[in-house]
Amino acid sequence: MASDSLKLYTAIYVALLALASSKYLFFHTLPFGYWQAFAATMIAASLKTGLIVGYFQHLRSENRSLTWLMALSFGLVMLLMAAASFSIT
Amino acid sequence: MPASLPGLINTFVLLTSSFTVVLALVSSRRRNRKGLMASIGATILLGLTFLAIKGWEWHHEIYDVGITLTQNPHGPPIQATIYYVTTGLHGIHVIIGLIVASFLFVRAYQGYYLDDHRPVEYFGLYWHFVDIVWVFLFPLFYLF
Repeated sequence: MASDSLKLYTAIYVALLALASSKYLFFHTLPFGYWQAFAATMIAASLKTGLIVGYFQHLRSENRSLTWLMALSFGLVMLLMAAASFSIT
Repeated sequence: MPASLPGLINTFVLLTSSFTVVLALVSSRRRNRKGLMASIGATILLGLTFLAIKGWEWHHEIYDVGITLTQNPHGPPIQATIYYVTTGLHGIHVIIGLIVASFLFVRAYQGYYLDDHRPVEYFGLYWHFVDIVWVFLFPLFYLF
């Protein structure tokens, strides 16, 4: 399979380690404010998730319709969470 | 809020276990029995390491800091319950994954999954899901 490149997987792994470290650095070493660090961390987390889903769970090499399905599910869950948060505050 | 360093180490441990699970799939596709056993074995060891660190953390929180499921002398009780329930549920999923991985390890030893890689692939999908959950749990409990 074209996506069976060990080199690519290793590069993804190193990128994931770097992103994980960055989250820690945002809060502990770098001069970020709390909400800036929060935003940067959420972006790093989303990038990590994108890499894991796309390459380790090989969504990229699956049918495009699956990506749309996942995106729809994610969107609906976010909507549900927003609605639930609204109703309890 | 628990100390960040054990959480960061656990993040590296789980990320590496996700990598080894990908290596398991590659080994399976390349019909490499030894590589398959080594990578599944590494995944299991890393998963056990994660649980060990988590166990140490819980032990520290409960016995040294005094925060249990029912009482929190350091803040609102809901913080403690959310922490234990969420990390506990995540831990249960890790344990379930390790049971499945052990089964796969035995089968790999017996020579399976060299023609049909699908069980290894599907276990990998589950394990990556567990990893993704931790990607968000780590900042939520250790950084925010």
